[in-house]
Amino acid sequence: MSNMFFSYFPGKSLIHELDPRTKLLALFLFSILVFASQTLEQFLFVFICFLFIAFISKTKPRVYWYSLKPLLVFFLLIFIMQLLFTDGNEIISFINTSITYEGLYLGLTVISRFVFLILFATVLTSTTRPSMITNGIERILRPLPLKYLGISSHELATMMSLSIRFIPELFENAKEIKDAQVSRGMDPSRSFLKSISSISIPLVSNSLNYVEELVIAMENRCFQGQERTNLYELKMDKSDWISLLILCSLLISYLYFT
Amino acid sequence: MPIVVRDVTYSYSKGTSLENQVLNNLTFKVDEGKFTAILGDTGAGKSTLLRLVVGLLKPDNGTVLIDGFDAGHRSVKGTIGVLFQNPEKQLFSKTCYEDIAFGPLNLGFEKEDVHQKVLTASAIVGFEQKNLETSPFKLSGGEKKKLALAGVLAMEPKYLILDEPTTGLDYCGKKGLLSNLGLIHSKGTTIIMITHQLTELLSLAQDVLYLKDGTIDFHGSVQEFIEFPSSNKPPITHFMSKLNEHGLQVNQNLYTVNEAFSEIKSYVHKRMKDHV
Ligand SMILES: Nc1ncnc2c1ncn2[C@@H]1O[C@H](COP(=O)(O)OP(=O)(O)O)[C@@H](O)[C@H]1O
Ligand SMILES: [Mg+2]
Repeated sequence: MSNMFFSYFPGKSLIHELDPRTKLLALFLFSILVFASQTLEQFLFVFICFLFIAFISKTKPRVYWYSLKPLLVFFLLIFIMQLLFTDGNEIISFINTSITYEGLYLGLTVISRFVFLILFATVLTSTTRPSMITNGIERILRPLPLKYLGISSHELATMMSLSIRFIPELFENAKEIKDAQVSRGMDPSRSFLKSISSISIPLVSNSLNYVEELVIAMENRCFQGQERTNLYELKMDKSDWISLLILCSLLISYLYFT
Repeated sequence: MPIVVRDVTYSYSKGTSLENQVLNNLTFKVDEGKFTAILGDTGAGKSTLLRLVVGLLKPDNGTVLIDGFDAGHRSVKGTIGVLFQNPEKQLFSKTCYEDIAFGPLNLGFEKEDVHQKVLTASAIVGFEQKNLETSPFKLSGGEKKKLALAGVLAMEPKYLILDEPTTGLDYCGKKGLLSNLGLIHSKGTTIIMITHQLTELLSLAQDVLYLKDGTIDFHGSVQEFIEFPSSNKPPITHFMSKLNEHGLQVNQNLYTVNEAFSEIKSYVHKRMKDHV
């Protein structure tokens, strides 16, 4: 289901209760962990960390699948690129390219990294309300001297969360267009590339309309991009500090010992 | 064979904490040549039902048969024309002409025939010829709706299903659309129209299917439906029963302005005669 991509699932769990800032920082730390991983054991370790977190977040396995599924084609493309365009010891060779051990290894590593990033990001998005993510980003960015660059942290956070919010909308519209085409006799299994070209143009055009309406609606309600009162005040609890402490020590020991 | 929906159950977001059962054990039949109105409040599951009937969604349980085939089956292709909700967001071709021609071309018609079908369909919905070569994205909302309907009609489907087609149309647009539908229906097309306003379908619909909380609350003729307790009666019916409450002995089971007008007129005449 396209509109389940990175969406929020209400629930009751330790992870749901954490401050969004904690979860954002945790995502950042886990990204470092994922990018520092190279060997099978290291990825296994990352996987165990993920299983543990996924378990306490009580998010159903299908939710992760919903996030991964739309990206599978993309993963496959990256994998094939790595496989075909990396030099090294040959496994098999074709007419003018060859598959190498190095390519296979690199391909698998890159895919694993992407998959883990998506999985950890899904933990964040499935347990945190989008408005809370914005809120968290804004609070993290607030101390930065962004205003000298002509940007306010609030503006930046709103921009980010609107983009995140927009992704399911795009998928939804793409699906609507495809449904309309299929219901008018188009072969639903026709080539991926052909579908892309016939969907992308109306998609862009519809999105521009949508964005324009959104901007007008926001301005009509006096959104000006400056800092404003928050509906929810964020507060770091004991559990937040403990989680961060555990994560930091985990990361440091990991980087130190490997 | 007509459209047969048997024991159909459907949930969104299956297997997550957001799992939401939208349709629960629906069973009904739409006979060929009938004009059926599907009514229900927003969120009742009307659009979901439509997606199941065209085969874009697969039921968790139960079957949907079109002419004896599963919905979405190859042999059903082209027999069902659907106008989805928000059709203005579902145009995709470079020109309006191409958009209308899309269906007939997919069905394998020759260029000449396609041309004829495009012209006929755009004439039926009143889409202006001079706009055929422009980009669909430059049209106004109402024109986009007309274009989308023309695209569906150009396939000359045996079954026509429309999801709230009158939303966002002005009075003339609505009237035009409804009289077109009446015309198409009289030529033998089976029509299912989803709406949340019964009044606009009073003179057209033969059958009413009322969805409530994912089940069929009512299925029967229009006349029966209006007497059905939980139906939203047309304003004129409310007016007549108000008159009745205040002591005017008029028939309250009237559903159109014209009927009410003649009823009141004859009532007034009768009273005047009594006085004389
Ligand atoms: N793609 C979807 N994913 C999840 N829930 C949905 C989706 N589409 C509709 N729903 C839910 O299903 C219910 C019925 O929706 P819908 O069939 O569109 O109702 P109607 O057309 O009668 O207004 C609503 O509660 C809606 O929130
Ligand atoms: Mg609907």
